[in-house]
Amino acid sequence: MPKTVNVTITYTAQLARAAGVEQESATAMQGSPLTLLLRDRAVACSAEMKELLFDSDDTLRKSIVVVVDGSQITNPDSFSLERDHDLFLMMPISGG
Amino acid sequence: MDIPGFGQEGQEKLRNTTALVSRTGGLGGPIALQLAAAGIGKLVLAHGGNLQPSDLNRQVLMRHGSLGQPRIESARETLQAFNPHITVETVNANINEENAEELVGSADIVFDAAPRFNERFLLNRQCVRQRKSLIDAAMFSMEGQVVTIVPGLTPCLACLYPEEPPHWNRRFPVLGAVSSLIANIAVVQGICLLTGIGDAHLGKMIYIDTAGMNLRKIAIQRRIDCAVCQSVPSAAP
Repeated sequence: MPKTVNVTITYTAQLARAAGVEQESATAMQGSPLTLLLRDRAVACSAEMKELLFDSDDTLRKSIVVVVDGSQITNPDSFSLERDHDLFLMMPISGG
Repeated sequence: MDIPGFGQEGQEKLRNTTALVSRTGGLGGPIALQLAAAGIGKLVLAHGGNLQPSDLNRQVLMRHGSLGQPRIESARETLQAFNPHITVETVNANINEENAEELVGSADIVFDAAPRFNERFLLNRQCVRQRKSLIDAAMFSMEGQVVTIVPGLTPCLACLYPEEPPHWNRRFPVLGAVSSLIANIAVVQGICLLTGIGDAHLGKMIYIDTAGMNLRKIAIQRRIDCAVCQSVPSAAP
C-alpha cells in the first residue's frame, strides 16, 4: 500500500488572504514532488491563489520563498516529499 | 551602554560608523532614530518627496506641522534635536541608479527600508559589489522580516528573491507599531554585526507574525546561479 506523508502548510501575507486560512494540513504521496502538492492546493483554493503562486507556464514563481522544515528551498521543482514536513510559503513583502 | 561585551570599545565602533538608511518612513525612521540613540557616528539618509497625511500613522520622525514639506528635512530636524552629537547628512531623493554607488560607498553599513523592490535590488547589487553589509527590513500588515546580508558570507537579496515579484502592490497595509518593531530588530542586528555582541543571525531571515506573536528564524540559502552574488567568493565566517 502506498505510503502518505502529512504536510502542514503555513501561508504569509497576501497568500494567507488568498487562501482564506493561515495554515492548513494536507496529505501527499510519499516521494511525490513538492510542486505537485502546491499546485493541487492552489487549484483547490482559488484562481487568485493559483495566479499568486504559479506563472502562465504553470511554474512556481521564483519570487515565492519556499521554506521546508525551517530552511529555504531554492529549487522546489526537484524537492520530493519523503516524510512529514512543515511547509512555510512566503509571499515577498516590502517596505513599511 | 552597560551591556556585557559591549563597553567602551563597542561604543567607539558605533561612533566611528557611518550608516546609510534608505528611506525614513515607517521602517527607516525608527531605524535612524535607534541608531541615533545608540550613538552612531554619522547617518546618511535618503528619502524623496513631501510629507503626506497618510504617512503619519507610522513615520515617527515626521511632525504634523511639516505636512507638505520634504520628509527628509523633518527627519533631519527630529534626529538632530534628539541627538545633536551625531552627524546627519540628508539626500532629498530615493536610492536610484544615479546616486546608489556613491551613497553606498560613503557608508560602512546600509539599512534598507524601501518599499519598492527595484530600490532594494539596486541597494543589494551595490552592497554586494562594494562588499558592504546590508540589513534588509520589510513588513506587510502584521508581519515583518529582517535579513542580514554580508557579501561573501551570506546569501544576498537576489538569492532570496531571484526576480521582482509581479504581484507586489505599492499600497500595503501597515501598523506603525509593527514597522517600528521590525525596524528595531534591524537595528539590533546591525549593532550585533558592527560590535560583535550577540548574534547577527547570518544566513537567517528573522520573520515575525505579530498577530500571533510567532517568530521564525529561517535558514536562507545562497543560490549558486545568483545573478548578483554568484561571483563573490565565499568567505569563512
